[in-house]
Amino acid sequence: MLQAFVTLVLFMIILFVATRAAGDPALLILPADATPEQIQMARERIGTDRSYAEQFLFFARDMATLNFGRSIVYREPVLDLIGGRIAASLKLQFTSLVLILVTAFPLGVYAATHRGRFGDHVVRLVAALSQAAPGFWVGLVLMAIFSVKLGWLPAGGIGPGGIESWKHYVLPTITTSLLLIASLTRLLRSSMLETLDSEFVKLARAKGVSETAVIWVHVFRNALLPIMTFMAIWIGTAVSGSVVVEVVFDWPGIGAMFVDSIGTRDFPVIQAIVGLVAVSVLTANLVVDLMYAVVDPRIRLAASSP
Amino acid sequence: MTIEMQPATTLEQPVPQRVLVPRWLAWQNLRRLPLLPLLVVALFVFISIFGEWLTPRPFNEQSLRLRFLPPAWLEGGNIQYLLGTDNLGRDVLSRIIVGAQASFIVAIAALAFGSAMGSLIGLASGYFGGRLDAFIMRAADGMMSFPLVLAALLLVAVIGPGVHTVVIATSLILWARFARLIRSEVLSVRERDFVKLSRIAGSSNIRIMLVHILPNVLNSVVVLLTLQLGFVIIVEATLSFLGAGVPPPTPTWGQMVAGGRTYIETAWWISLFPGLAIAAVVLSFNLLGDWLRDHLDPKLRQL
Repeated sequence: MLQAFVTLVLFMIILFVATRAAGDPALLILPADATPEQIQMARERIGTDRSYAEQFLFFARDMATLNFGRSIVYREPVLDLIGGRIAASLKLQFTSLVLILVTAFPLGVYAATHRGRFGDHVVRLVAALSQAAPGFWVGLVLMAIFSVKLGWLPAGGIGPGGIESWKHYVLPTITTSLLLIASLTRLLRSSMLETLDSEFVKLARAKGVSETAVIWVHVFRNALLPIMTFMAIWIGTAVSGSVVVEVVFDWPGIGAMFVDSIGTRDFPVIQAIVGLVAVSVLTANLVVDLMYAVVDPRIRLAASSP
Repeated sequence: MTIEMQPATTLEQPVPQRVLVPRWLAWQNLRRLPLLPLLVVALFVFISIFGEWLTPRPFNEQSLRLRFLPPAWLEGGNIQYLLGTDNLGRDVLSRIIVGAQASFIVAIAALAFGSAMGSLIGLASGYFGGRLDAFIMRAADGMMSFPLVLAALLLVAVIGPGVHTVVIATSLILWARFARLIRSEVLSVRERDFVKLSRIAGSSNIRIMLVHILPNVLNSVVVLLTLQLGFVIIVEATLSFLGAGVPPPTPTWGQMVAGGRTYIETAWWISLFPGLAIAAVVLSFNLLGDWLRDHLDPKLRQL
């Protein structure tokens, strides 16, 4: 907990320095022909006439209270702007997570238990291809095939909402999850193969445990451990991937908005989004650490004895 | 969180001097050398260096008459424009050939920078241990889990787009990956007898790290370098696609895919072929990396 907090503070300092290094926010919100008096007034209003230490305290307070200020471009409170967009992004992340879970685990276990057979080769080939193809391109190709050529699915947007808009979710969901499905399948396969090789599995088999029980009770559970260590990294990958997918499919999410606000240098929006993402990533890391202890008794025991 | 190796047994076997060339160039290993990926990689390096002299057409030649020409094998195609032309009548194939250079330069620079920094930091972290180690590994974890695209875009907003921005952003992640790996290797190497003997003989920390430990972890660096090449190329292409990479008029593959996005309904070839080029090169580097890892350093299979 303490470490996560320290990381968060460090991160806020980096974000503060980065956004201030881009120039005085007061100059950014004013038109280019502003008089020195106007600039001075704007500085006093925002607080950039004070020392950096004071500014940082204000910055930290605003971040903690979700008071992100007004967007320079839209002239609206940032919180109102990003609220709906976070929801849109989370919906897409949720459908992707479901797709990842229902495909990667069966595929990984299948490939590991059928090592060297035809199915294993197919799974590995498809996984290697999916890891090599850049997400933005996969999205465009899917769009060209299923929207333009076949006309089955819409080319972009989130739809009117409700159950009827499910068609809008298909292509973005596949594109978002493809890379993670491939990585997870490969990792699960290699991790299961390693566990299948170990002594306790041989012992379990020798004492007559059924093959199903060996796979699911002994091997699968142990193979999950290395996967959990990679989960924290994957959260970052997932966010990066969703930025790209939202741009490709015109998804009204927070990632597409981030790209737009980079183009317009809308720093209140930029720092709000980066701050929120940082907090979510840190929280996710914390959850992974805690889950790790639940799955692996060795860690739980090591942690409780000094 | 990385799985660490057990310290070596106290009964020291003769130190196997891990020289790269003889063992992995042995015939039984070469037999299963991934030839096709090697060819693709060689072609990629070749056109990255000599691309501008190899193009069938000048890569920036525009022609309003020849806009949206389909690939040569389709109806209306022109054999002089093998993969068709884009919205400004530029030859897609020529631009793909010239565009390789941007990926190549960024990949080399980011990997050189990131791996050097990461290896040195990992070396110090593993060797000295203690609080320094804990702090560095915490920072590395934080770096690795933060979304790279977000960090890179933030950097673009602050210092502007360009090769240097892409290189810095990519190195931010790369150093952490290298530091983590090298550190876990150093933890086992530093317990070996030759390190202890060297310390007794009065070697300085710097000398022990650079002369005795570093050569023993170099294999892992080489493997990781190859495995990360594909990653760096995808990152460069993604940033180019988002308009945060190397700015026009220099063509890059990501930029070309982005440029064809508007015309995906009619002129799909503008986006398709540059993307295929990225996928082919990345796949080849990944396969080569896998092969190299299996032959140099099988214990890294989890990477």
